[in-house]
Amino acid sequence: MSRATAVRVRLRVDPVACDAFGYCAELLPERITLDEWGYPVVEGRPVEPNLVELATRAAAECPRRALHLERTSAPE
Amino acid sequence: MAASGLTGRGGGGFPAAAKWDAVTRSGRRPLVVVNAMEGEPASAKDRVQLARSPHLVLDGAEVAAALSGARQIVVCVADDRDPTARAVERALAERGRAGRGRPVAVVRPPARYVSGEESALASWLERRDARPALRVDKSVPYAPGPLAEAGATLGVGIVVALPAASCGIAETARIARYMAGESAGQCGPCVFGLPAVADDLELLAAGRGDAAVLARLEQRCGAISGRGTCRHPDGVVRLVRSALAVSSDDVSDHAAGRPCPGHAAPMVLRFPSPDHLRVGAA
Repeated sequence: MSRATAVRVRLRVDPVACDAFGYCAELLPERITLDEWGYPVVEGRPVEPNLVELATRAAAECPRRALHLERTSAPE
Repeated sequence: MAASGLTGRGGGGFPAAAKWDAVTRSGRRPLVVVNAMEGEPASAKDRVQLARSPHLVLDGAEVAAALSGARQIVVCVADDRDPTARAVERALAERGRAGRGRPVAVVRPPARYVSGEESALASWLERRDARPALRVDKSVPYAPGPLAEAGATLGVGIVVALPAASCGIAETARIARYMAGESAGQCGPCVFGLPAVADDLELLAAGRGDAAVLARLEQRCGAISGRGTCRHPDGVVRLVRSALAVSSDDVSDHAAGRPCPGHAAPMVLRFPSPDHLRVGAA
């Protein structure tokens, strides 16, 4: 069903909206860790193409809509 | 203005020309805001300036309004600073008698550190909600050369000389506790991280923190930086890291269970709102 996408995206957390549910780190442990208070830590580098679908899912599952995928022109 | 190299004095040293440029290009009629909120620990700069030479400040605001096309000027004085507000009102009355100037309103936002943060103040003026808004990254480098080469910035221009008998770690712990209490409460890493940093510093100050506590403190500083929607937590982390680096010998002694005698002395630094202080050395 999925096709490889050429669009580069990176993860961004809206720290005001985030309430530390932690679902994102469960769904995308490859790229998201939790700090000692349960809030997600994401890196700024682009998400690998094979993880984009999981990242999209993680963003969609966030109860606070606090995880975003942003288009980026940065090299991987 | 760009050629003059004029920069802000609010801590960031942001070039005034860039700010004016943004105002000009926004296409909206500007409002001149005199930010005299003074939430920084140990600061008396706004109070002194407005008590001693209010007309200088109001003249500056008038010039800014004339240049930018603003019709109104707002002076923001924290709601616990009645003498300062009275000084401004007196000066305005004098100007009124002289028949000068455009409308100036004195408003009283809540006296909290982040209320004076630029976007928080704008938000309060628009919606009476004094919390920082999503920050805009400024790609312009911080200014003055010699300080930058030394790895420092002007800050807000507050210099306090701690007496030899005082403890720099205990004073830093008190600042950190105060700053933790001044969080707007919006972002987890700030809400939980800053009190945790203050906890570690208080343990160290009292000689009850070992190398593991010091390592945890450094790890926490790294975990907080850059993760709030405003720069409040980043500023606290920068201050703590700087204090630890400057007093590294002292830090080692404290972490080895040998705190300096100064940690139990009365505190040197004064804070805008004493009721925020629930800090002892232990």
